[in-house]
Amino acid sequence: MPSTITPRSIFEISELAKNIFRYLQPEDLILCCLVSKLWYKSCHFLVWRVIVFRPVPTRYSKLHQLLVADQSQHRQAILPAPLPPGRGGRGGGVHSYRNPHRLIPGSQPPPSHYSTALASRLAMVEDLTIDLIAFPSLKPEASVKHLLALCASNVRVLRLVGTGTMTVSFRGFQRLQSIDLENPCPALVTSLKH
Amino acid sequence: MPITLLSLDDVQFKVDKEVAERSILIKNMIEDVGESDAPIPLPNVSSSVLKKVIEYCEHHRNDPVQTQDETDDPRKRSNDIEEWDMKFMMVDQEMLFEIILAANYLDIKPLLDVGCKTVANIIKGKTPEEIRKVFNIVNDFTPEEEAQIKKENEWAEDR
Repeated sequence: MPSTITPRSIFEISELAKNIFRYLQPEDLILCCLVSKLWYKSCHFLVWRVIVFRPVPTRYSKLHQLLVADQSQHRQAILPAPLPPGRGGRGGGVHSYRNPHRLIPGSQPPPSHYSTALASRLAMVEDLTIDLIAFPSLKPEASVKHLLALCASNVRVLRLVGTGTMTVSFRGFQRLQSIDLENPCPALVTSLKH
Repeated sequence: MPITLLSLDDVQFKVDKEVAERSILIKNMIEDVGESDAPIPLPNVSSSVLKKVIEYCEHHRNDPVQTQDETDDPRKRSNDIEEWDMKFMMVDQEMLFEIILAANYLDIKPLLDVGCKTVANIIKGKTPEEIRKVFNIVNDFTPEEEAQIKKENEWAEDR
């Protein structure tokens, strides 16, 4: 019987391949990246697209104040905010950094003021769970390193939780709006306002 | 009113309109052309695959239409396949891939999702070599490229 397709070709259709890979957890995606160049092309970006930042308990009230403050400062919210002094007394570990402006060797400089603003906000918000990391003009791996470099030591990556997530949420608060991956930082800031 | 579907290999299938309209492609064609006795040609789907697709649509004919929000739920996982769907997808790999391609072409999102989840479940827990063997894929990486990719993902593996 004639057929227009070869069985293997579903992985050659980018949208189908991505649709399959989005059901996989990062540990599987990492292995999928090693299958072939085609698979790498389809799934490597999913590996580092979803990250959870460790929420630090007992700081909800501070976050709440920050959110309230954001309602009146929404115009300034997308601008780089100064990091609060004295952060970094806790935490530590391989992926935490005391100097919030330190860049990892080999990582790229901030792509725009948006990413700096986001990182600064994250440095201030300790009770944060965020399921997204993607700076539009950076390779995501560089984005991760860049963000980690900018964050205070008490905000650190704890674990990968899934793939394809495009939602930002804050522990103790209602689920916030979806994030436009093409332009995530202003959207996050918008989320902070509500 | 029944709708007639015409497969790639010229086999006709008569199905209820509501069943045929589980396919967004067919639904749009009916809306664009208007109801007619003329068979709807589906030149990308063979009769054996179309038969399976119709079986799926018949079973799910009364399901609510998925909203975009539901389909984009970031928390969805590959292990939430209904029992009937799981049995339906117990086919050989060639048929599984053909069903996925047909679902994609016919724009039947729930069927596409079930197919993709099934493939994802096949992939889960396997090494790259095992995956290549299952899907008959050639490793086209050089050892240097493989090493580079492993290095790229070291940060994630640490967690």
